[in-house]
Amino acid sequence: MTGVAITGLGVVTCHGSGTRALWDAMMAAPVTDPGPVPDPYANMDVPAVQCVADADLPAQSQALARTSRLALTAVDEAIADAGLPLGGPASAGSRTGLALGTCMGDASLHEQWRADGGKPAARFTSALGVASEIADRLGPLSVATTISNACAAGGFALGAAADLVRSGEADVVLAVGADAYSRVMLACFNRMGAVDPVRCRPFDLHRRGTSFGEAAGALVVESAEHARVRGATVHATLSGSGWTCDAHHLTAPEPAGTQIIRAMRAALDSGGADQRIGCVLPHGTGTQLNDVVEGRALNDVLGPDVPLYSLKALIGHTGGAAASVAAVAAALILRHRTVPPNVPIAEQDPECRVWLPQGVTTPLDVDRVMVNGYAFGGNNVSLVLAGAGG
Amino acid sequence: MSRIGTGVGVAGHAPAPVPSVGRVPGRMPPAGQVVVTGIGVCAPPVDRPATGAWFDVRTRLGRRGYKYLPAACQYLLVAGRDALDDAGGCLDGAGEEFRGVVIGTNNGVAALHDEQDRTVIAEHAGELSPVTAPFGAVNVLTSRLSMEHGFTGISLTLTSPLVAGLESMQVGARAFAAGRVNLLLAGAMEQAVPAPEAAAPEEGAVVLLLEPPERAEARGATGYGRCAVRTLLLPPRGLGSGAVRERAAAVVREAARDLGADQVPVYALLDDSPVSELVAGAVPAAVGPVRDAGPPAAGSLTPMLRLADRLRAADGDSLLVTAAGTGNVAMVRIWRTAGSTNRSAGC
Repeated sequence: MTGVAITGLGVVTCHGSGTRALWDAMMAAPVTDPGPVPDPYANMDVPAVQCVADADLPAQSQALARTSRLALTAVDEAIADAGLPLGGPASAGSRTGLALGTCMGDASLHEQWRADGGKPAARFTSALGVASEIADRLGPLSVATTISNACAAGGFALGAAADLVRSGEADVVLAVGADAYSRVMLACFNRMGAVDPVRCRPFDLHRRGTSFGEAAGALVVESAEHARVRGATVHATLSGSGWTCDAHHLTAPEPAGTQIIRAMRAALDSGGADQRIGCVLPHGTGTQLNDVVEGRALNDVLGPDVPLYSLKALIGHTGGAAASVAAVAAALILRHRTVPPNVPIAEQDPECRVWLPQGVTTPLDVDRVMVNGYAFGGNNVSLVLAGAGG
Repeated sequence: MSRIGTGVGVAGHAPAPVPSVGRVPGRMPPAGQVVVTGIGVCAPPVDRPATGAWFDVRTRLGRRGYKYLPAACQYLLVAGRDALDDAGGCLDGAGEEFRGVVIGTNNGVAALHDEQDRTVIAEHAGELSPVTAPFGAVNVLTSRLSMEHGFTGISLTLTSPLVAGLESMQVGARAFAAGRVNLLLAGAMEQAVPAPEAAAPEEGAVVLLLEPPERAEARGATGYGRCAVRTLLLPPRGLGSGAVRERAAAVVREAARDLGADQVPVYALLDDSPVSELVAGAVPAAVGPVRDAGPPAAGSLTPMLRLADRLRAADGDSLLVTAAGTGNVAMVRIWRTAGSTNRSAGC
């Protein structure tokens, strides 16, 4: 086995908590519209998000802010799935790390202060302390990083987690991506005219922007040797990741896709000689230019015949969680050796010449899946996951 | 072995690699030391007047294209430019795709979010300024620095409370080891928080030009010195007593020893939290007493300002330790280059 072993998975989305709920939703492919946000101060044209139901979050985490609740829900599942003890090291002397990706963190803390008409009663704290809540679950961490690269944060976090294992800085690393509804972020996207009032419709000719969702994804990564010694089950491996920056525009992708192509090729190259890919989970947000540029780039790197699984059409654009949840979904696709049917779109944009299987499942004929994550600022990450035997 | 605040001893000055435990064979070298070859600081002067602006964007950046950037981004661009100027010739031989940016911040857009949110609550999202709407995501500020210099390597924004700036150097060292980049602008940016009465205000930016030791050596650059960073995260609510506290202390001790805490003076930025209390008791400081570098403020800038000070100081060989109630801990070991001078300009 090459690459870094993925031994634990956890996820929560608008379709429920747990990998089983996600896979069932992927196979059912329901058209799911966003609902109104439970926020009387969401004064904007499209105040709608695919929220996670409170019933899908543990009652004991109720006192926490929402992104932390989402993160811990996914973390608890991933830890249990990996067979790790809560609050302690994976094994005697082993070193645990955390790589968290989040765009807005617990922004709801500050937003609640302001909705209440005031300022923090006590010390002003950053909204980006989600990692502290996770540390209370995991115990002392030998290394930790929080990456806030907007909508690609979770992908960078997974790549960083693998680097921590590859470099020996940690034996086991939890890679987490999490984001909840944020009034500020949704308002900014509304102001930019980038919210689709219908739903998230990547690659659809009639798409009008993105549409947000809430989610968290968590993956436990470790070296194959460490997994073998402690008897852990390996679900998949992360064989490579590529990180680049457009350095082009604050919000728009560079039209030629030069750097997203470079990120994909770097992810492929770092995985070894095998450049074949059986499925791609694209960034695919539903914004006009992003989908066109990514479609062209995928054609350039992989050709037109690789099936895409467009996850955001199912769960919305989940911000800093998006690439983490996509990586969990990729591991499930590898486990089942099946590409689920995409959520149907009305009419595919002829400018987006990608293969979006709809209404049927597609056998995964190559045991490697690519995940793309892009962010405002032109921050690009591509990941390649391989089957456990790869 | 004594602890912070009580130890005495003699400083050692031999650079040593950061030990690595359990590296995955054949995969990637451990994140090691970085050479700081340029420093850019854009921060209010110590004798800043109580009222009045200390920063003029037109003077520092120009008349067009910068006015509507968030203040933290303006500070960052100035500090980044100054770090590159200070390093001199560092771009030669480093392709754009191997030049990166990693910046830490906690409150880089906190004031902007405050203003935007109050507008939405009182009026409507349609009343938001279109030029500031893209900055809802804090990484856009960092990316603006990447754009300014055409760096197409990694562009990362880190947000760990207090330690994000120091963490940028650790992440940079790892990016060097992974071969992702071979030249990096790393640092911290902050803007005054919207509730200054509830936190020590921080504003400004520090950017360091980092290079791998072999690259700096190849181009004959000695820089200000070498640094190695460790970040830890302790469970903030689990440190009362018992096994978790003991393990936390062991993790702190191990990291400090890896960095040679018992060989150099230790400077500490600690608050009044249980986390800081544990760190103060666990760091082995044989060369003491510990120098009080002051309490941390609201964000990630102060530790980077102190690091810049240490890199410029004649007695710069040292360990800088910082910790906060969130559980975040960072340590940076500094091996200062003998004879390096204070070249970089302040703001």
